[in-house]
Amino acid sequence: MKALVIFENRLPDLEKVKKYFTDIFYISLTNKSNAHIVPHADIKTSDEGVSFITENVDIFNSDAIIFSNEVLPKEIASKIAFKFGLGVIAHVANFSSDNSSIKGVVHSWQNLGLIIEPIRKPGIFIMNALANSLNDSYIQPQIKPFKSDQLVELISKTEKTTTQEIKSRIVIGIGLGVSKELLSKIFELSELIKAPVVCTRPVADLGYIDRKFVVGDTGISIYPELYIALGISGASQHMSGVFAKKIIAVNVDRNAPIFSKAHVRINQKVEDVLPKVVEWAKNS
Amino acid sequence: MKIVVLVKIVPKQIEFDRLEKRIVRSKEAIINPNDLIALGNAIRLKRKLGAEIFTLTMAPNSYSSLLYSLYDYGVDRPILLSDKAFANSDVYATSNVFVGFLKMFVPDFSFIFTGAFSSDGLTGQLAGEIAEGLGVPFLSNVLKIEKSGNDFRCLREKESVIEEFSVKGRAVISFSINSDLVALPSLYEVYRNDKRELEIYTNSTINLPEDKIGTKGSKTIVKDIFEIAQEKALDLITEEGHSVITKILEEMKE
Repeated sequence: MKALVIFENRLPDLEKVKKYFTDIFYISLTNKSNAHIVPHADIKTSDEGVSFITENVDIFNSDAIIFSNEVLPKEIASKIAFKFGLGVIAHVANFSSDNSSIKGVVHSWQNLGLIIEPIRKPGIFIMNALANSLNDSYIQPQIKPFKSDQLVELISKTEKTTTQEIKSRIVIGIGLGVSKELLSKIFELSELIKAPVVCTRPVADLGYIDRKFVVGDTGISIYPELYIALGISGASQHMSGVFAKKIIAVNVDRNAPIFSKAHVRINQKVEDVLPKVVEWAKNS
Repeated sequence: MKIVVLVKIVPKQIEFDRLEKRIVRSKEAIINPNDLIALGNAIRLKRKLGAEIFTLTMAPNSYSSLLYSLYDYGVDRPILLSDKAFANSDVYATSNVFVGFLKMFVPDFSFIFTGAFSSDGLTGQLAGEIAEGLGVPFLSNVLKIEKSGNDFRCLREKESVIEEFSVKGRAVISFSINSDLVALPSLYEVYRNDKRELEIYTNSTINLPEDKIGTKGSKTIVKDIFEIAQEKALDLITEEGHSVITKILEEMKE
């Protein structure tokens, strides 16, 4: 089956994509990335993206159009979906197929999964973006034009300061499974091992940590070597922002979804584990 | 200036019925929290520029009382689109309903504002589809919108940058959850001496064809709902977990 993969700076999980699609055509929205087609200048708005894709690619000559879940690709996905009357499936964690139909497997609230099928091809699937780049050296990018947006003009661009702070080898994450009383111990550990602290959206909503440290769909993404997830259930809304080489999860709930993603699965109360780690850090 | 804010009614609780294999939505419902961020930004423009604020909701009639409360936030015209024909609409079919209504009843809108996503749907795709249906630009993840000369300036938050755009003309804007403005009821609005009514429209007024709405108008089908199995429950560490962590941290030091 054939897929178009459309991304800005990060690609979706190609390991999963390649299991279902043998013919993959990569489309980058920036002039700098490696892909089969790249624009003559960086795409800035969704209308520019729609122009670039639809004028340079026959989208109906594919079984699926896979967008990374970065801000701009998602905007373009929704516009193309309506323009051509195509079904769009967001938060796709994986695919499934029977005969020649491809479906999206979505990890939804709590521990629920949904299998959703577009009624006709191509379906539009929005998948988590990972920090990988296209290493296929045989791809010779073709530079293609697009219509510049006359109604929405980019005036300026500023680097976000929080992304500077979370470029750390180790990051500690806090979820609702961590009581307020433990916060000082967590910040103590953070200081000792030089690991910034991030959190899930509900923890920020409680006011425990500033919203700018929320990781996930509604926050930032992190790319540490090690992520220590304390009392985090592992809902897709948070995990979609975690791209760690190794994840240690500490959770008292043995059915917590995070255990299916973690490399080290500690089924204990955070308050039983944390003080001893802090003690070690003080002495080491 | 007319601003239409899309407001969704969402269940307060969602649970999974393992026997029936279906999602059970509680009868108790609330206004989608993210839509209050969109509404907050609309009210701000109303106060600064004198905009007229509409809200537009697609829901069963039983949620009317929730929508009356929108007057307390400063809304001028809350509107409910309610018809059995709209039931089971996916994002595409829902977009058709909103686009059909807006083209007919508020063709002179300046902006459509929406929240980032609904707490029960999570897709965040509706705003872009409506923008395409109306033939206007779409900006998502907006932190702020301000008038600047003849145009409007929007700050859009992306993964690692914040971009400032000049928007010349109409647009659909969906607001980031990090936008600082949330609509709150105001005493002034609560006691405002206006005739309060909820405008309710059915499909007999909007007259959308059957193949554009509801199940027949949807472009996706949910084939299955399941609980995600824990494949590796057997390798859970249930004691001395701190030693495993400290060993890994020690190795990272080297």
